[in-house]
Amino acid sequence: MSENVMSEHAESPTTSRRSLLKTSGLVAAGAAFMAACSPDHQKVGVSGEPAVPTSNPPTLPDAEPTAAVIAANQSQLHTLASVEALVAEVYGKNAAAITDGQLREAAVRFGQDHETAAKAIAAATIDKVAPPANEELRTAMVAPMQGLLNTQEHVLSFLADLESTLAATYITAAGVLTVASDRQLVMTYGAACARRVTVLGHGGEGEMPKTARFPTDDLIPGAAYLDLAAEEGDSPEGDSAEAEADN
Amino acid sequence: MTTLPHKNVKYQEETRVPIDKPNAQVDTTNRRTFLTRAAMGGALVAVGTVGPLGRLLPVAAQDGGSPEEPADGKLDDNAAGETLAPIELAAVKAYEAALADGKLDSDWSAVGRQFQRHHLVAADALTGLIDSGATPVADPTIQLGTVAAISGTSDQQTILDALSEMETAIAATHLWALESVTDKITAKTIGQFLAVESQQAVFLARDSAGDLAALTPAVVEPATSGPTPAPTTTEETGN
Repeated sequence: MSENVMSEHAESPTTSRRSLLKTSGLVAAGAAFMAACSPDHQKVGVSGEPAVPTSNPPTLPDAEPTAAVIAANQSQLHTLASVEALVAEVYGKNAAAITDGQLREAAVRFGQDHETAAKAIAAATIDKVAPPANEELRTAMVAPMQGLLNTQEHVLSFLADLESTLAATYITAAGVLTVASDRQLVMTYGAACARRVTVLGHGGEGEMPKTARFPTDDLIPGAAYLDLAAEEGDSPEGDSAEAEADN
Repeated sequence: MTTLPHKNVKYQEETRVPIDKPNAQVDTTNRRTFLTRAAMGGALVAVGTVGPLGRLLPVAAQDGGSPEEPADGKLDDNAAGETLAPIELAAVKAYEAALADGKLDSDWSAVGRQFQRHHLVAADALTGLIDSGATPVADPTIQLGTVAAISGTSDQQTILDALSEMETAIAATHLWALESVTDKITAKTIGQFLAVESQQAVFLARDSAGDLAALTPAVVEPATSGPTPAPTTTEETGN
């Protein structure tokens, strides 16, 4: 009986502590040997590819713009073209009231430049349609002032205000447009507006910039944004633009 | 010149701003940085050659080269900071040179200090875009051109004209960069800086300019990029 029991124990696969340690050692040695022979010389104990650090996220391919994004871009460009057309009209109507010959000559040229800008920006849109002068801005900003422009100083200061508003709107558009070349395009005109502010400001005496960043809190009203404002009523584009301006 | 275009401007009198940071790193140039800086250097030259700044720039930098865009055609925030912050720092140094030794009268000195602060704000903002935290080095093209020219004269009008040309060149370089900047918010920030720099160019030259048309073009053209290796730092050439 006891011999049978002993023989059963001897043939059973039961693992003793000694055999476990022995087996583990062989496996570890084998793994180390295989790792050393592998072509990539991966460290022992490293399994699979190392995790990608989250501080350096992979570059995603550029996504195709959605219809909404394209529409928003077109709204920006159409609006800017319509504002340019309005500002050109204002110059044409008021330049003659400027008595200083050099400034009057400059104002006439500025009006022509805005007319050209309106066409150029319209040409950058998909439909290439030049919108008419912006009626919302005319109602909100131009019409209330028109009867008060009695002196050269008033005219020049008002024109400077218009230029400043337009420059701020251009800069805000640069923070909204999704196509880099469009952002560059609008700022070529925005910078020109900023230059005119410096000439026309303070009744033609000249206005020095007082901040490192051009202020963008003096934008056209949200209702003046074309396309989206007409479709959605409360001019979300204008609101978002103003929110951007707070940045 | 003793009068300013607008005399009733109240200038903020502040202490002079430091332009060199104490722990400024010499350089962290890699291939991408070099290419973008080279393109930027060419951009500055492309604008400068049409005006007085052209003669202030080193001859070697005016030789030009074939146009080349940044390494991958795009400027992410890091690359934008590395490319544009050095020219803002150099502008700070240009005003430092202009303000030294009483070359400008008190009115223009106040204006100069104000505009210097504007460039320092821009430099700080653009430096903040650099991932590594490295401190950029002032652009050597402006250092060897505008700064050197200002340092070599005591004529106020010459200095103001040189600063005006520099402002125009910097604004045009920012405009050039906008075509490649990938982030919209960064683009807007650059737009704000370049608009003010455009204004500063006009304000500085307003009294001396006989023709307003030259100061107020219908369109402010961006600089054309060209990989003209600007006068380099020792780290870029190994010299």
